[in-house]
Amino acid sequence: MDQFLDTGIIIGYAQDEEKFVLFVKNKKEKFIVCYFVLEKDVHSLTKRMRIIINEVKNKIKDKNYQINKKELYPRDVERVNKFLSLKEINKLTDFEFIDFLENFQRIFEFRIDFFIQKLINKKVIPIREINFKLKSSLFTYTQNHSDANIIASGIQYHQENEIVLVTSDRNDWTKDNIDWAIPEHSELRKKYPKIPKIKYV
Amino acid sequence: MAKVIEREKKTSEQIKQRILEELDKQQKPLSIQDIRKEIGSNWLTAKEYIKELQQERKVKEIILGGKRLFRLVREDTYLDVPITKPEKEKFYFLFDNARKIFKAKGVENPKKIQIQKSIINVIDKFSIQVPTVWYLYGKMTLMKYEPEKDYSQYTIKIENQNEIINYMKGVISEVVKLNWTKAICKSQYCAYDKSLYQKKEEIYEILSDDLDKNKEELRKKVVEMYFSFPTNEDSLRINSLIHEFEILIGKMILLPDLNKYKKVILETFDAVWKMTAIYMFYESLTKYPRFKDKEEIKSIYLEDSINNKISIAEEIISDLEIEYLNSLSEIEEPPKFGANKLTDLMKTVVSEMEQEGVEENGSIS
Repeated sequence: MDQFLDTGIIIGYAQDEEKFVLFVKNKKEKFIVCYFVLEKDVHSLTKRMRIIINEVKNKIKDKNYQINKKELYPRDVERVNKFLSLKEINKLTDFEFIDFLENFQRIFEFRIDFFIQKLINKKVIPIREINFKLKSSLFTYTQNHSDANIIASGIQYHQENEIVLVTSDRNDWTKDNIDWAIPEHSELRKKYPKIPKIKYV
Repeated sequence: MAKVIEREKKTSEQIKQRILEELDKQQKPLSIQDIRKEIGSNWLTAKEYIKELQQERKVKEIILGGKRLFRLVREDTYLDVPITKPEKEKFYFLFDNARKIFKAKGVENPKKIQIQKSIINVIDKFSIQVPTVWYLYGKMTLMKYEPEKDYSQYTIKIENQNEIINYMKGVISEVVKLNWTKAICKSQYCAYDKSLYQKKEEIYEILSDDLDKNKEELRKKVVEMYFSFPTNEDSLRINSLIHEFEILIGKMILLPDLNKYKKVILETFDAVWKMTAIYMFYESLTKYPRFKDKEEIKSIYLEDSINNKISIAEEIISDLEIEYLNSLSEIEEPPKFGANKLTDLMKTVVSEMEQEGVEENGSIS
């Protein structure tokens, strides 16, 4: 059965984590992803990483540099500071640390690009086609917009093409969450009677 | 009555000439109403002649603060930026004498770059009050040097004239010795400690060599160039495009055969540099008090050029990205991270960010 992937699978592979690399190595079925994963999740993550790393580099090069808080989310401002302290703790020179960050960033992005270009067989469900009621209902239980949108895309696609949802998120991607979000006899269940199985990596 | 008769006698060419003179004299864009008043004609007539001048590409329409204005299309300055009559005279003096000195030293037809670089040195040494800007090949005079043009028709008396000429002789002797355009430029970038321009030159050198042998060097120079570019409120788009190029090069050097993409990388860098240089032009120009109104200067003289260079760079960077993405299908295994504690910590941060996900509008939840 075709495998409908969560963002975490791509990111795990990009980070060269063993279980994800092994999962890819044993690929037998088609890999399917929805546009939300590509255009929102992965894109936003790489963009944020670029900004964080850039701010760290700016701060290293100029001690008086003011971190551009407009461009960063509060949590990411903290991450900039965290990275800066990593440099101090590990007693790295400016050059060594910047080189490390740049190297990490480009290998990470290269591996994402490789995954998307070479391993994904099909991209499905444009973001504008995600059913609003379905994703809202899923959000009530997952409390995570990304999960809600991706699971909704998977359920929509599953109505015509049988798939299995593949994730490493055992907390939010659960059968219970989906069943609660789309209760039996509800309007949503009438519209989306088939619920895909979930496989955990 | 006499005035009316005089007006009737003017040919259309004379009226158009009068409009051009007025636009030159005023050194700023004028509305049809302003022009009408200055040349003493009615609104419709002025509008007709301006339309003709636009078709002849001698006048350009701009919209400034919602007003329709017209400015002169100059041939003697870069990007049509106006210079005053005394400045023009000083440039004539400098161009004329530089050319004569080059000839005396056996260089019959000096290159534009030789004249420009020699003159800049003299201008800065004697603090001669003429506008200079940073552009594609470094610091240069705002007025263009044309090899065929006669510059001997100046009347201005320059202070320290003999001292300036003597100094110019020494400078030109050095420039003649270099006798290589790149060497002349490099010596200027070095003299002014312009890291951005030094990196640009070094990148061009690497791009003309074996890329597979100089991958790491290319990446480093592109990163350094990105960091040498000024980060200002009005340079954000350009900054982010240079950053995009930098990231793309960082990923492309992980490809096995980089020489295969040499031509397209060179073309992309060329577009990136042209975009960068036009910003440097704008930045250096607006340091002069009379050009200090950045928004106005941009709208009147530079907006089209800046936007055009940005669009070209955007397009060509996107083409380079497509080349890179297509090349991934030829790769069997992507590169791996070096195993160390720091990499593991980075991975933890990335996983944390992935779990946060995004909000509907694309921001994090």
